[in-house]
Amino acid sequence: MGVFAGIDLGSTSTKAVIINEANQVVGARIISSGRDYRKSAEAVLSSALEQAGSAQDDLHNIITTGYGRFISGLEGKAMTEITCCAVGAHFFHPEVRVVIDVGGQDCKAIKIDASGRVVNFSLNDKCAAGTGRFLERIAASLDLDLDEMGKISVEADTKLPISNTCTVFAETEVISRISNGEPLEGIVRGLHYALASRIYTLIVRLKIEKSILMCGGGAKNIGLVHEIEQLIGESITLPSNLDPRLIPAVGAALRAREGAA
Amino acid sequence: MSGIEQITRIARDIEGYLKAVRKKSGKRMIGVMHPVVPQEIIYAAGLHPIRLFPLIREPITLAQSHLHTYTSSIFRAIWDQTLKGVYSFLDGVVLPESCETVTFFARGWQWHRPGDFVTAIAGSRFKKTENAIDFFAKEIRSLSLAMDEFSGTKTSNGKFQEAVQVFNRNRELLRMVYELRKNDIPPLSGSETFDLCMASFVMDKEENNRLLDQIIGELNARKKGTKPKARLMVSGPCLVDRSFFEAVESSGAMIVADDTNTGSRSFWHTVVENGEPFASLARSYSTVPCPFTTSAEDRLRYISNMAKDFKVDGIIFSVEKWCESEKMDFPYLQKEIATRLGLPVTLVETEYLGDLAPIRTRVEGLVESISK
Amino acid sequence: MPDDKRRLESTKAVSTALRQYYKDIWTNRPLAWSVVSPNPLNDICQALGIQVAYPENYACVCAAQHLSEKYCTIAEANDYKPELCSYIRNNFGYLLANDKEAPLGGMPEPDLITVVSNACLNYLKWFDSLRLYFNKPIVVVNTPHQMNEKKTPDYYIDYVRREIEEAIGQLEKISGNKATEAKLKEVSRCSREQTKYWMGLLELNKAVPAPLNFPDLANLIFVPTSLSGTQLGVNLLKQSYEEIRERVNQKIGAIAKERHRLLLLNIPPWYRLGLSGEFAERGCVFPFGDYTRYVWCTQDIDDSDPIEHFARKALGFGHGGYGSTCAETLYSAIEGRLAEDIREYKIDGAVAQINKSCKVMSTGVLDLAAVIREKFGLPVVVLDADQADERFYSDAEVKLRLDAFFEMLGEG
Repeated sequence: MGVFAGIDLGSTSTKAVIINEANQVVGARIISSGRDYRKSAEAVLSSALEQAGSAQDDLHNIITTGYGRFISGLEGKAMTEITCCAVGAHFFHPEVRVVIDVGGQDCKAIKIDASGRVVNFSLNDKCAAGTGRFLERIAASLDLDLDEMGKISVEADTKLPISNTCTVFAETEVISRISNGEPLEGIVRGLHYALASRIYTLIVRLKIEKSILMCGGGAKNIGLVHEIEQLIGESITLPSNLDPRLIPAVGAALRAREGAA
Repeated sequence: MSGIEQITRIARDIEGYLKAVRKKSGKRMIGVMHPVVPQEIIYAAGLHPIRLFPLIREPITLAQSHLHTYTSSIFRAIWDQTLKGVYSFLDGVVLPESCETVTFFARGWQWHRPGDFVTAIAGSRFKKTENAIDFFAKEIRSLSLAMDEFSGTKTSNGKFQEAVQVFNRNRELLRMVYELRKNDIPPLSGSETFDLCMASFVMDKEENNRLLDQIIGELNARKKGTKPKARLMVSGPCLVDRSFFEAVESSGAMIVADDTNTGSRSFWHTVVENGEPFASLARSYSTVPCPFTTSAEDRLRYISNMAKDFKVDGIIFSVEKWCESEKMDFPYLQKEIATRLGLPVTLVETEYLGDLAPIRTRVEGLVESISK
Repeated sequence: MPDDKRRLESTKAVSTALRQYYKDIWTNRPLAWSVVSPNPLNDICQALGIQVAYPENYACVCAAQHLSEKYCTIAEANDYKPELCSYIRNNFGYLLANDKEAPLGGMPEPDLITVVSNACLNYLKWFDSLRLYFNKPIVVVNTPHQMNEKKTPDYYIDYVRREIEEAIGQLEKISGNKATEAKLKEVSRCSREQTKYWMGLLELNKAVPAPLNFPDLANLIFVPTSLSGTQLGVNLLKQSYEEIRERVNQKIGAIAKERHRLLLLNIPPWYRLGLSGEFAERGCVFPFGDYTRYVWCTQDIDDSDPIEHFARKALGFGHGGYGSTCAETLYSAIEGRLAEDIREYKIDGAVAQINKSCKVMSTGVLDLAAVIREKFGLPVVVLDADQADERFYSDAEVKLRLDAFFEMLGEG
């Protein structure tokens, strides 16, 4: 049976998803991007094909997406992750109207209609602490991983205000508060709230409409998800049975299948 | 409770205070932006004018859908809080022709909140000719007609004169407070002055006058503190955060003077009494030294006089990150202040809920260089 | 660029005029540095034999030649902060750089400064700073923004008339010439005719396929902004108008295969004009934009009384001087000019920009984009860039947004 691939070349990780003619996901891999996009693209594709039990010859079409989509060295068209995210989200959750993708490098909010078509999108402003990098940096300086950060955040009773205009300043603020003996939980929750309020401004631009799905690395952070839910006053759908980072790659694979027809 | 305690309490919860006042007096409240709007007109029509500022400390969220990031964070915060219903006690707003963000409000506010009463007033900008003053006077008359229509009254000349007297007295009292800051050991700090001004900008003026009178007496009787490490002046647009003043004064210096919209610019002029009210107001309000109506040269004069009178050791230009009119004047002002006054100058950028650590560093650097 | 072969022939004459203009500013005295806006002082200077130069336009030239980055950096090193409009930083950076090899020969120091306040607050602050920098006289005409009613009150017009009369007095003193009725009538006639041709050629662009695309319009902008009040300007616009009309008759479009007609909102990044080629490749043409249709030459004003003509011209900035262009465009989006134009130009999408430098064109653009999407059901992409500061432009970011937009148009 023929298969189709979607490759998402992001700043932090490169993802591949393989689907078959029955639109089933038969292979999915995530690897670190490194500096050589071509190498990562090749590696993640062959790893995903192996998982799918397919050979290179079975692969009928590829679509690449993400920032590295033009330099994968693979044969196939490139599509933006905005479209691919929409397609992927709609595939699993056709009731979704707003998709929030919180990645390492950027953050996007995408409005889709009932048929999964993109009707509007907004990306994070320049000079904004509105990306996954914000939390990653500070987690590193606190010697915590993101999962731990998320857990601490949801269990915190209070949140301390942390600047959300600049990652570097926020880091300084965190260090200063810790040295003043302020509670870590409050700081961590404050950080999640700061990032959530930046993301919230993107969603608000699109006009909130149920239901809302979150994907990307940020979706794995329960602290962040919780703070965004509090701000929008609605619960957020998370991709079921799939690493949330794979949504755009799924969308790309689906488009690859359509393109091959 | 002393007068100082009363005014501080108001300043610390302006939202709560105004809600209570609105409920008690029933007088409709009209918000104004900037010190260039002749509030006497609003007062004379039986309404309660208040200066609009962000009243709660909360990240800007809703406003970001309408106003992009490269606009003053103070105005974005005001808009954010308007959308969030923070100004539930407000019945309308008067917007001056100032910068484009405020001009946007003239349309944007009506667009998003069509039920609100919104009116705008142009001014003479940089021109101080008779022609320009005459135009400004006509604009003030138009504002008066709008206020009358809104309030359902017809304001008499007597009411105008009374309003001018009340506001003149108010400005005089605030200047008297400032006069005390010329002392070697000022009886109140910059942060206390901030509280006093911010409360005064929203209180009923007659009540405010009584309180200020009382406060001046209290300040004269206050036990002397210690001489500040350095006497500083701040120059900038709307400084709305007490923590900014506290951060500056944590260096051991004291802010003894200012050139800000939330300080002296609001009350450094006096309206001629018993004259034709619109022309008198126009003439006086055209001297308010906001950068959007004033040339850099005239601003230099204002700043220099204040720096000399208040024996200032250094000047901190505290400019909102996206305030272009203040930033445009800065290169000229910095150079001239250095050469003509020989005063050290530093520039700090402020942002709504912005981080104060960089500001502290710069101010401490300035104070150390002064105290050496 | 695929539409290179379809560039207007008449823009060659405009380019020639531009090169001559950059020579004239070095030879003709007295020289005024002025603002473009719809600025009647430029017409009046023409009547008084005062040569005018435009730092704004020069900033566009520097940006197109990728020099504004250098000038902006120099300006910032001299305390002109990055948040200031990039035209201002380019200007001061150029002055401080003292470049012997500046583009088109550079701009000589002025003898006087002239400014009207209609376009933006920065105009006043910037040109007042230039006055202090050069220690030269300044002539200011204040044109207040009417922010309340739709109709400009008579006393606004009276005020601006007197402002202009005062300004004429000042300019006569500086130039040593008299602004006779005949001279003023001549320049106001030229001003009016240029406006009619500009409005006319934009009207012609309602045709399908659109005969004129942004690169040519950008070229033509030089005429109403830098040759205001001149017969040369009238002739150049007339020539272009006639060429465009002929294209309409022959159904010649500005791009090879027109499939989408897009509205352009805001001042484009002058260092990336080649972007229009990427749009053209995907069948997208820009028949008009707010910058080209709602800023200059927006209304035909009677010129029988030159002072009245000039006053109304100055007050007629944007949609009639009511406020910032963007806020007014927003207001006219439901009913009024923009709604009418979207229908008549058969617009099926919009490219909007948050232009860091220009609050006049950007404040409210998010609301405007929302209205275009919701009321007209059109796809809108919002870019984040700057008109002249190339450092504030990210090719990757713009490409991502544009690619997504093309995918929404079905051109992906």
